[in-house]
Amino acid sequence: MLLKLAWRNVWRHPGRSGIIVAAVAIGLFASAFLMAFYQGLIEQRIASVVRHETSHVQMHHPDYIADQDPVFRIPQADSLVQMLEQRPHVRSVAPRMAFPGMLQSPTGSTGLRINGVDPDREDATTGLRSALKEGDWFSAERRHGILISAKVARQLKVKLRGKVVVMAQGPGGDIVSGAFRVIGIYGTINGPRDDANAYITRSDAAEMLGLGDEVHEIAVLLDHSEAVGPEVAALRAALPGLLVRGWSELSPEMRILVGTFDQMMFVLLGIIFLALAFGLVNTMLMAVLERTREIGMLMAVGMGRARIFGMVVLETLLVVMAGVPVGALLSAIAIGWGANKGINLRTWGETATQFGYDPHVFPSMKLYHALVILAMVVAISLLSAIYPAIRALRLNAAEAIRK
Amino acid sequence: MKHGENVVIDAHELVKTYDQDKIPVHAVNGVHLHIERGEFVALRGPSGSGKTTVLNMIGGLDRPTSGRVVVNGLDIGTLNDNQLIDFRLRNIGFVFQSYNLIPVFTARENIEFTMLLQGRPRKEIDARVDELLRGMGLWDKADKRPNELSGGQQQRVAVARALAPKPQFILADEPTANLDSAAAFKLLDTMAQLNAEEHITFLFSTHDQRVIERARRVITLEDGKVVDDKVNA
Amino acid sequence: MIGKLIWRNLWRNKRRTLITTSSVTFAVLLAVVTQALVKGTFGQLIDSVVGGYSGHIQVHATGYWDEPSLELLMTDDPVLKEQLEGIDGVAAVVPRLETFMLVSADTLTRGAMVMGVDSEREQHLMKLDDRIVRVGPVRNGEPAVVLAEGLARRLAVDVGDTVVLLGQGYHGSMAAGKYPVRGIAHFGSPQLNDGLVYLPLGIAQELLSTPGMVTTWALALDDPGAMEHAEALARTMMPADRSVMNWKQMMPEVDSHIRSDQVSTSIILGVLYLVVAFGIFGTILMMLHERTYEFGMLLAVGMGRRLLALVVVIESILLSLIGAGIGVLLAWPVVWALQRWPIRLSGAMAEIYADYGFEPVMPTVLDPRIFLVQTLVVLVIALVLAIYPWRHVITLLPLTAMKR
Repeated sequence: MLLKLAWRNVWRHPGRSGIIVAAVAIGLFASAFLMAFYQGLIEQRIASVVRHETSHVQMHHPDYIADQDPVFRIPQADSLVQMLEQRPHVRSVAPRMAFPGMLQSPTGSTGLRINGVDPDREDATTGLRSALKEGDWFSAERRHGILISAKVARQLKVKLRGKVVVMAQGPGGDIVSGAFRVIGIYGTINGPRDDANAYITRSDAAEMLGLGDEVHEIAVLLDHSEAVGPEVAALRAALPGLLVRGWSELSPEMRILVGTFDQMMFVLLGIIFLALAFGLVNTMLMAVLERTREIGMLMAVGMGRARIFGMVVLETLLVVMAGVPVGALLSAIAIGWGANKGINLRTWGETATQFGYDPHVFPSMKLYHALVILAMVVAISLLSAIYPAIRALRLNAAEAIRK
Repeated sequence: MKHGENVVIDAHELVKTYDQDKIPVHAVNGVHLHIERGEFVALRGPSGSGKTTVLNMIGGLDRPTSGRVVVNGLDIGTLNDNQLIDFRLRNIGFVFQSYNLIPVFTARENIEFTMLLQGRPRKEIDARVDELLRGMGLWDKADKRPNELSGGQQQRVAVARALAPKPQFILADEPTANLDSAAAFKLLDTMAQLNAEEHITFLFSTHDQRVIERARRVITLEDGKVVDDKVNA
Repeated sequence: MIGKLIWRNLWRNKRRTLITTSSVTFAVLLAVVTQALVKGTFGQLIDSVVGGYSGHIQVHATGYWDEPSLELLMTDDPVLKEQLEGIDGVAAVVPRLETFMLVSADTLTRGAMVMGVDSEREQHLMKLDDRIVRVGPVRNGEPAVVLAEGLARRLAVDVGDTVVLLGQGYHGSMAAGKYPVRGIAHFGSPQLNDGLVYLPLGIAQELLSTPGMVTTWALALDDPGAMEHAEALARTMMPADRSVMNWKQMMPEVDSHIRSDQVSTSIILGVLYLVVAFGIFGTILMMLHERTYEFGMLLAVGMGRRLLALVVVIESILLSLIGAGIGVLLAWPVVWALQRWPIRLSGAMAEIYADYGFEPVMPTVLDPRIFLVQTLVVLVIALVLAIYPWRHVITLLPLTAMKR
């Protein structure tokens, strides 16, 4: 009965209640959509970083991290790689010799990171082969081949099949060098990163550096991201001499993105719903005060304080909840459409690719987030109802009738 | 309290004083009342005589500055606010001058309201409401909202609502003030009939001559004191 | 009289007016503080990157920026330099000769950015002299280099040690030179701190066989607002083989980053204002409903329609503006306080900030334009919302209004 009473009271003023419903719907829609958008953005970025940059797990010699000095290497690389490849959840493994060096052409020079890779394994792990824009992949016929980005090629003024010299400091501290031929130009969505990395074969790198079955870096791609945590823990235990890190440790950018997301969203929601609360309190207060005599009558006739309090709270909840389905529907449509078609950020300028973001964003709403939003809506309506409900109670029955 | 006993309203030395801008106003200045079951009593007096205040104090809506109200041996001054509300719910029916009904409920829903508050079983409620609707000629208006009823009809629904839980007595504050003669008479007839048939005690406050003529006992108040208390023929 | 009427009407229902205006105040306060923080953060970013390294405007040989190489140099022409320095707002023209070389010390070698600089002029940009943390004895007149701290550490050298610079000079000639280290300098940005070596411009030109040539002229502005104007003027002064670029063109990613952040902030604030607007509208609606009888009575008694409508509209607008006014008044000390005692960051964010040499704080900017813009936004919203009450009063029929 209380429910019936509360519901009908809400619709005594359809205009007034309608405005609240609209405000709730809009606030809900906006916050849900923004959340989903950013969530999609992050997921996009993480997937991209994992796929093309850090992979899920990387291991190095502990002292390698500081300067990438090629003297700090992982021994018995081949058997280690084989062991890793046999683990469940491991999709592929990419061992690399990686060290800072300089590329020199007749007309230019530039410093970047030289990666000596196992071509097949590298491609399986980071898809490097599909990033080839011009030229060819590594093969037995093209010895001493090097892959560089287009910008680096321009900088060095070399074309395909042009020659460059790679110079670096070897593990012994001396300067080593090697002559290479540009066999391919590559490009991923992360332009700046491409310009900082060149790729040669591991055997060529080993030859140049005078190393054998050793590498500096092993990257591991798993079959799904939830396996990262346990895998890192297991590998750390199995390989105590190495520094094993998961993708979130490898990329501080990712750490921040993921870590602050929840907080930021919470703050965002809080702000929007707080603004909503102002209007809600105002409206409900009015609704109570204009019914002074009626409420006095209810008290006189025997409707207890608890029930009257409950009635006001219910009215507030009901009017807010009326807006929820509308907002939810709008959000579902917008997010659904976005998740399907994807939102193309390119229309907003070059930002995305500059940072290595895929310009297509697919909004995604996690169930957890939807529940949080709903909970906040309920919380806000309950909180907003308190003051008006208390005011309703404070009306002394006799005085109210006398008014 | 059983519906058959000799209910007694005992008011002793009731005083109610207000402070209006630091000047004390004695709305009720020592009132004694003794009312038995089945009485049909009018409290009359000019505006400002305190009759509404006395009624409110008897009904527990207002607390006397001094004096006691004892209903069937229970000093209602000993009850706290929540207990008072409950007391009213179970023992007293109220009919006000206006604003009696919940605007968003139909006549039927208004009548059953107090019984729902008491938690009576559905069957009992429906039976009682039907009985009242028929008895008071409101059957065809059962599903109408107050804004679709005339003044007289609204008041009759209010009386039905007050009566529904079979209270000990009914307090009515100027029930006929907003009604035309025909409606007023109809209302009084209904109340008199109920009083005769079901022996429900009625206590009105009024300055409507039509009501006063129908009452069997008239208590006159002036300046907060009882100046006359006589039984009509 | 009208003013009195309006003012008293607003306070008829104190509680309602209070709640409505405070919702506007809340929104405005939040908006202003947020904008101040955002502008502050970007100001900090720009100051350090642009003001501390690249300069707001740069002049290069045409084509150099896309393909930096020693083949695309320009003469360090003093006449042109003077012309540029004559532009209003330009504090100095800072010449640089930059290229990538290998730096060796004993057994260690590292790649590094070698910069030939004019220390005096660099005080307008990189402030090299201020960054030196250790100085060593140098024989007068002997050419010497300064290493960035991180680089020095990796090469395990300190002041007084000798390093060898090895690389390519003009037309692919071999560039090699041995120099004592006369100082170690600290840079905030890890990029610079781990990879910079600088030496006097003349010595660098000798080393690279590029006498009288530079790769860059960086223009230090003492008034960043003058950038566009200065840029345009500079273009007219430069011959066709030199191009003039501003930092937004040189580092479009920084510019886009700033812009996209501003866009998302604006969106969020927009939603906030929207919700508040609904609240205000609700209040206006309630006000109108309450006073319908009164309006009818006023019209019947002879008050002009337009006048009454105007009164009501002004009341509605004032409701929002008062809230905005209070919001601005409150925001001022808040922003000022944040300027003096900025919010400290912690955790991962603080680390990243420290990495780049920024103090881990969120700076704010006390820019009066922010306050103005937010007030304007509220004014526009209020005006839009005022349409409804205007129409309501204009079309009101006194008799129907007064029917109870």
